[in-house]
Amino acid sequence: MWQNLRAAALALAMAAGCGTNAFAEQLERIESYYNTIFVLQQGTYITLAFGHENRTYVESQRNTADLLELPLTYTRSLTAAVAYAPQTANFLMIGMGGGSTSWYLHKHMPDANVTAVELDPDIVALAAKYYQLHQEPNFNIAEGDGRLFLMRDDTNYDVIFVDAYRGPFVPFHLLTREFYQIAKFHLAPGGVVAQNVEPSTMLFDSSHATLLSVFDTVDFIPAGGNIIAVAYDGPRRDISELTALAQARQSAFGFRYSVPEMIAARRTLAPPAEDIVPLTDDFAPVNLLNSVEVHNRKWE
Amino acid sequence: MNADHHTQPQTATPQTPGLLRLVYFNAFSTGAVIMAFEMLGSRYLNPYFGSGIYTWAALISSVLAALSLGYFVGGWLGDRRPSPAILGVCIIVASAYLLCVPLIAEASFASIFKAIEDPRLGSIVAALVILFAPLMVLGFYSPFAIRLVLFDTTQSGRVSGRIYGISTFGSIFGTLFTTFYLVPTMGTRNITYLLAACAFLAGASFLLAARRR
Repeated sequence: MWQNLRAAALALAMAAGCGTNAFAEQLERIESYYNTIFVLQQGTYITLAFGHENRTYVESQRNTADLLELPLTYTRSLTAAVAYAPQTANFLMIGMGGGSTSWYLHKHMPDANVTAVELDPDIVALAAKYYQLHQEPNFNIAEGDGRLFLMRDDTNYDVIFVDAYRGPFVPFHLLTREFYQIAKFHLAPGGVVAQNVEPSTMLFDSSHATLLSVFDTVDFIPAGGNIIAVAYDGPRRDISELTALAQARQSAFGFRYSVPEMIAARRTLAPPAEDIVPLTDDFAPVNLLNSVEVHNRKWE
Repeated sequence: MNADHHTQPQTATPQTPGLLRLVYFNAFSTGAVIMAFEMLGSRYLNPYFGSGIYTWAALISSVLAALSLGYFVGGWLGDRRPSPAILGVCIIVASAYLLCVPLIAEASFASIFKAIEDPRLGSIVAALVILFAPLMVLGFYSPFAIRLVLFDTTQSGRVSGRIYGISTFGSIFGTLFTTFYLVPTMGTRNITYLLAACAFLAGASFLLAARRR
């Protein structure tokens, strides 16, 4: 409880901060190929944050004394997707960051193959340095662009997690219909795509419309301000069926954060209005949509 | 042709105020099209080659390579055939290539992606495929246009300065207008067609001007 509060306070302080903040000590500032990365420490918590337009955005936060803790709510909520997958053989994380969720999944499901893709080599190096993140049997780290990785990959995944942010933005080519088509092509039967999305902007409706242009159904898992969209083919999964699978997975793998509880919070939304067009490689004004805030009555 | 650099350069026919205005106006529009298309290049490249800094390096170096060769060839061609009609035809050829870019990109990027594993090299090859030919030909513009309107070497500094200044101002406009207005409002393909149309109009206006004379 207290740890969670402290982590939340730290995240809040850093979200509002300007590169430095009163609570956390800055260990490093690295100009990587892609980002300005701040490494911040408070107690045993180490945060990787990206600087963007004079603000910092928390990309990863982990407790170095307890690497299976997931201090950021959305990193926990992502794991709800394991209740959707009929099998648990292969998982892919696009946007590894500090690797908190991927490592958590790997350690709870050691027989599953978890692959985490990260664009920024400096992030991979920092995750190794501060979080002791390393490859081992059934845990693979791939450096490169997530979409390019999928295009060259021939594995079928039970869940493809998408959590690739650069500061406040998701790169546009990871939000388009063509990207989801590529992802869908790499799903095992019954597999799902689980994406961390930002609900307060027009981009939320657009992402919903885009997912629905490729998948039959999209469910939403609340994630402490963010939302996890879970997209799959076929009719909407019945809540009792989902809960049963969540409970089975919970007892089989002993997840620290209760998957049945996250599934119980599942939400469904009516499809977005018809004037919300799906994003495509041809037309995806992601930065614009991300900056247009909407009062999302459907969600609130 | 007269290659004696000590004599005063001659245009094929003396310039008219109308041609001068057209040359300045089209310096703006071709300058705008060049940079607008460079900005657009990233939208073509990102899905296949990622959105790293190397895609920008690939785009910028390809544009500069195209312009560099375009300046050489444009200067040479302008001296050989200093006619607005020739310049107009060149710009129309560039616009035709631009018109085909959506098709070319779709057809070639998948095979470039398959053939070249390194996204850095892949993005350079891809950028060259879509950008090099049309922007090389648009690069003819400045030296060729200077040759068209310069009849007095005592004004060569001013005339060339104006053409480069206006063209670069057009490039600023093209960059900003594409990024902040066109990309958020219409698709990449439609913007490409719009740029092709602008280039076509610039080329056609020279053909018309040549007919009038």
